[in-house]
Amino acid sequence: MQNRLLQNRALLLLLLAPSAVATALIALVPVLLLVRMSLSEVSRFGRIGAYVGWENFARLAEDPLLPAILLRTGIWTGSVVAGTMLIALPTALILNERFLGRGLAQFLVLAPWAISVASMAVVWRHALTDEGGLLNRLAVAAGLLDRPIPWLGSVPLSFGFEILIAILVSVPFSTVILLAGLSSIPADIYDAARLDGARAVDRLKFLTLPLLRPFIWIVLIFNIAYVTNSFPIIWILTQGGPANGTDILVTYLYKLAFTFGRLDEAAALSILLLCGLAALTVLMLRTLEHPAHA
Amino acid sequence: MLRRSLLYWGALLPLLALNLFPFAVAIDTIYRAKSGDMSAFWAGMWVRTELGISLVNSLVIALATAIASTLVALPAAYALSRFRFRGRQAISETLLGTQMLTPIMLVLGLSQMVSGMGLTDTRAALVLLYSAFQVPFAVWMLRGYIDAIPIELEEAALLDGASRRQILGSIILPLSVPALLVTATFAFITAFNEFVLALTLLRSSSNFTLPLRVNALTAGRYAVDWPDVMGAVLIASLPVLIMFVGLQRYMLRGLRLSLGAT
Repeated sequence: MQNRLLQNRALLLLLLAPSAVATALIALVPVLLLVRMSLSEVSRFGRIGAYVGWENFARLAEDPLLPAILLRTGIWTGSVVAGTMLIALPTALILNERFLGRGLAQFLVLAPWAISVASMAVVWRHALTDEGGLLNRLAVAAGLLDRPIPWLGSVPLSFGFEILIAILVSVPFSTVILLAGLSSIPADIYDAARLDGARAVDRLKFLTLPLLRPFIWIVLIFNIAYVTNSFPIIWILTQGGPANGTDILVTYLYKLAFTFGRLDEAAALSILLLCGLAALTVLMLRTLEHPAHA
Repeated sequence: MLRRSLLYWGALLPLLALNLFPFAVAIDTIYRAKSGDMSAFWAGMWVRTELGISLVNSLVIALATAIASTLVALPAAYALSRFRFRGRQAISETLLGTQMLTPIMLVLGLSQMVSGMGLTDTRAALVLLYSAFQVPFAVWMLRGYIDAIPIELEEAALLDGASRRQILGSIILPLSVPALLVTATFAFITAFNEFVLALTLLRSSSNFTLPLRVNALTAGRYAVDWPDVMGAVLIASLPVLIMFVGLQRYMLRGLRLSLGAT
């Protein structure tokens, strides 16, 4: 009977086929198209021309802007992921406790998830550029500023705010995953630890965090993938400017393709990003398979 | 309890303030500029921003994505949960890997593909791509749920002479309804708020989704009517906020089940 229920090849293929087609639609066809574009000459209207070999990659390698953008992407990803983790972990630990109004607190923690990142960026852009706006009035009233300032005036300040907004956008998802992890830890091991006289700090350090480790890894890896590729915040706040001062790889990729019309070089850059992602994915699968060594 | 609650709320306060800040800015912007008849402002904003058509576009696209991605994913989730076969591990890993693909890094290839299909500037193109991007996540979510349905139920039905189709239709499907709803909710939210693909693939204003409309109201304009923009942002956030109020408990539980099964 086990056989009849679990082994029926034709049925198996039928069940898997729709998802396989969908996956091919995003993971196979576009990648093959990108490979072809990256090795060809592509007009600014997307017409694929002659095969040019590695020329597009060579031109990318000579792009004087790229080293700074690469470095900035690293800073961007590192600070957003670290900031997200530093906020999401304590937030999840708190939301896992029982206290008055926890449902409301959880809703407010998740609230940014409800707004599209694009809208969020538009509102922040206004908040940071409007001299009579709420942020400036609050800052003046609190004595932090003598008079209103345009917050997006300088590159470091703009980039700093973009990092802050990206952290705020990433915290809800990360908190939810960690919260799911926390609630999968059985309560009785805490009771046992308490009976053995373990203090709260020790329970956190020796029970909660080790048991949470696979979930922390999931959050880290997905955040690295998503943050490296997060586009709307920088695009809407500064379009990567002024003078490419806030560009990261994906905003520069978009600019190359749709502002400068250098589609072939943009395709080459996409391929490089995909290779980076593939490496990250392999790392992720290794980690999830051997969580003990993580 | 009271002291502890105050302590926790105090610790969460900075984050909550930052989360609420955009809403405060939106409301402040509207009320600073428009005093007097607020209903006239909302009605005027609705017309000036052409918000209605974008709201319909977003709702239709998100709903179609939610339904399509969930229905496509369910059979695969069942197969991965119940069948033991060679390549099962490889398929699971491929799915997990594709979950990390983001639209932006594929955007050039995707727009080539869409124009090859003759679907540029259509809402159908977005439904197709959003659904496909959502499938790996949906399979993973649903699989966690189906793993939790005891297989003995199916074996008993089989002994009673039920066919495979009857088992799927009268055991698996009804028991998966909560899972299907949760999975569809996640797909809906993602599609409702997506930006990059919509920005790249849509041209005509009559096809714009809400995020695209909000962006179009501000990008590349000399004079931006900020109260209108903020009104549009608030309206655009309402559908998902309302879903959160009703569904956040189920969404969290769904994630928990699926994460537990990984």
